[in-house]
Amino acid sequence: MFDKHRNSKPEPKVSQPQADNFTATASTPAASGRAALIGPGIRINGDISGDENLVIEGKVEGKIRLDLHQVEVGQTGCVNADITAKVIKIAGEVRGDINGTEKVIILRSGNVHGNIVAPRMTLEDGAIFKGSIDMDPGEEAKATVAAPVKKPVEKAVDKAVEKPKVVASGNPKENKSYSLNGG
Amino acid sequence: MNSLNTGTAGVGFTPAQPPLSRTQQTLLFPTLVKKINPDRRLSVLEIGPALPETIAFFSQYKCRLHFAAMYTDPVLKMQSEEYSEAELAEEITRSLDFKTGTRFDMCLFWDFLNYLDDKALRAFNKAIKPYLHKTTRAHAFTVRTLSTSFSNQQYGIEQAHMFSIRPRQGKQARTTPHTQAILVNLLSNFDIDQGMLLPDGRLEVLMTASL
Repeated sequence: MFDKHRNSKPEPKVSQPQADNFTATASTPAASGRAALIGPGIRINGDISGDENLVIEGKVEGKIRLDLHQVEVGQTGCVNADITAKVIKIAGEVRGDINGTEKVIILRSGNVHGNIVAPRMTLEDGAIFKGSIDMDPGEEAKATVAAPVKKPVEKAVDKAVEKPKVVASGNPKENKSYSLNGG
Repeated sequence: MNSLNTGTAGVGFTPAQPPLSRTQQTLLFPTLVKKINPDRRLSVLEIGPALPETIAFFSQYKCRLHFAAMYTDPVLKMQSEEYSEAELAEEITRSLDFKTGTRFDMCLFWDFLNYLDDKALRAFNKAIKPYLHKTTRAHAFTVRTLSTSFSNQQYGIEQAHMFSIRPRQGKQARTTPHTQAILVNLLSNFDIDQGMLLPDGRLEVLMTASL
């Protein structure tokens, strides 16, 4: 569908992405190979698959599947589609489920409504997200979790930190030895 | 200690932005964290918006983290209109948009329950019931006396014993603080296990599902 290089007709906006088309914090996918660009004036209804990175500055409805590559939704990008890719970077608007086999990044201008599955997830301050995130940190992080919970140290607490005092406690349920999530 | 690195969150995240929030110590939340079995998937409902520090905190667990973003939901405006409890419950269910079969191990209500009037809180109680199990635990802020007010702020988890508090953008919705006694009547799916009085009059509570 995005075999643009064979198309002899001039297309409105299919070219190597420029850094100015994306946010200052977003790196260009060109660094890891070629990338197709869906420009701000382009609207696509349908499924997208392929073998190169993709930058979306326009509107896309359907499904996007680039298993081995990176999808970037730029600030002007508006996607109403499920996205599957190795790395997914979002600075625009996305409505749909997102599966990043390596990483998902929502930049500060990003607005995402959907469910995310990714081993690594980054959300920048200011980004808007509604939905669920499935995370699995792997063995290394589990080892960290297994360590005892750090107790608050009175001396280390700054004046600005609100300190609670107990007013009620001691429900018998609290003494039950069960785990929150089974097992 | 009163500032946070809140720029970016995630496993292996990049250097942080300038601090934007203050922190609040919690003695109750660590008791929930201690109950997490790291070998099993944890299912968490965060009733507020997605914040970098909350994602960073839970990224150490194998978990599904659901951000409901209810503070900006239209249901907060609907409650003051002529909608029945059943209609509100239906709207809340639609807005929560949980997948069938979802059961939460931990619910983070923060002070959201105080933005619901009695009718809306009963509707919320009804809407959330199918997504609880008998050992679901919840964290919330309520009040000791009705004169306590809630600031327009949002919460995140910096560490097990430390919440982040950020000012919320936009106009604050009308609040309807509930005392502990009223809360347990309206939110009948939960019993309050423990409470901590905070210096500003809020009461931090841990609850367990009473299904």
